[in-house]
Amino acid sequence: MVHLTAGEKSLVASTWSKVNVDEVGGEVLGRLLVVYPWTQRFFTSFGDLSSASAIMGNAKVQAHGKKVLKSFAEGLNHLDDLKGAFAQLSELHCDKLHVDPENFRLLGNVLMCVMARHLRADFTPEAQAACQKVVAGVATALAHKYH
Amino acid sequence: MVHFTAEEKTAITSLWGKVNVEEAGGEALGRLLVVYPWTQRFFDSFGNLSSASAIMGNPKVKAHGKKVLTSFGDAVKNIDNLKTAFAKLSELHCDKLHVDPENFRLLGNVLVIILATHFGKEFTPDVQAAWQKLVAGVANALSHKYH
Repeated sequence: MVHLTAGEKSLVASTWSKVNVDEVGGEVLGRLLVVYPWTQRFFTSFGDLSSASAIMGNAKVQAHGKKVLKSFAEGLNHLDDLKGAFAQLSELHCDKLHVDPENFRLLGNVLMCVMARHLRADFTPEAQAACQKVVAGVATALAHKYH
Repeated sequence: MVHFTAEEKTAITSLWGKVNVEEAGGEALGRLLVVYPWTQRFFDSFGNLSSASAIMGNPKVKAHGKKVLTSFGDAVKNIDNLKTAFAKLSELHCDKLHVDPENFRLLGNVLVIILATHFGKEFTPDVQAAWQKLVAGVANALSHKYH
């Protein structure tokens, strides 16, 4: 379970409030597919993923990225029970989607990078530390129902 | 061995040319110590590491960060031969410093975040992909002499 101090929770909330979830989701998923190309194997039905620009401009990537990030944002409302919040998604990713849990950590890394890129100096060391704790917690929660 | 295309090498060297190694080095090491607090165990002699601002302002952290990132600059110059370039440092980190190689990956992640905060728009998906390949290659090279 993720333990965040009151200060860290407040920092996560204020940092996250500066993120445009609708816009950034597509970028996060797109960068995952560019930077870690083996992850493309889960998205063969998405059409053209043949280059970085094809991926970043792909409408299905944008739409699915937005869906993923909205789900992540929802998790931020349940920081004291991430395992409960992500239980069903964990089962889905294991039983239906067969996604290696390592990929959740990779997506978390990419999200940190995208936040850094957009927020620049506002993505302070303290903000980074608090947000990294959250993405690690979400990755663990998503892996929790794996068997 | 890590293979870099001509485009990847260009992406890496052109960004590296704009990096202030002294500033970025201090920031990278500082963020490592803030975001992954267990890494502070290797720096007991550095004095005050009691808070994020103490860490980021600590002159020993800045000096050592500069040293580490200058050494990383050697990677950029020896990109086709990382294992040889880092052979001695690998032995040092194993035999004398006893640093778990996982920490090299963590430092690489922190460096990518810093580049993202500094370069914003310029830190495109392709540039990120090239840099993540490089930091992974350096982490592997530094682990290579471990026994």
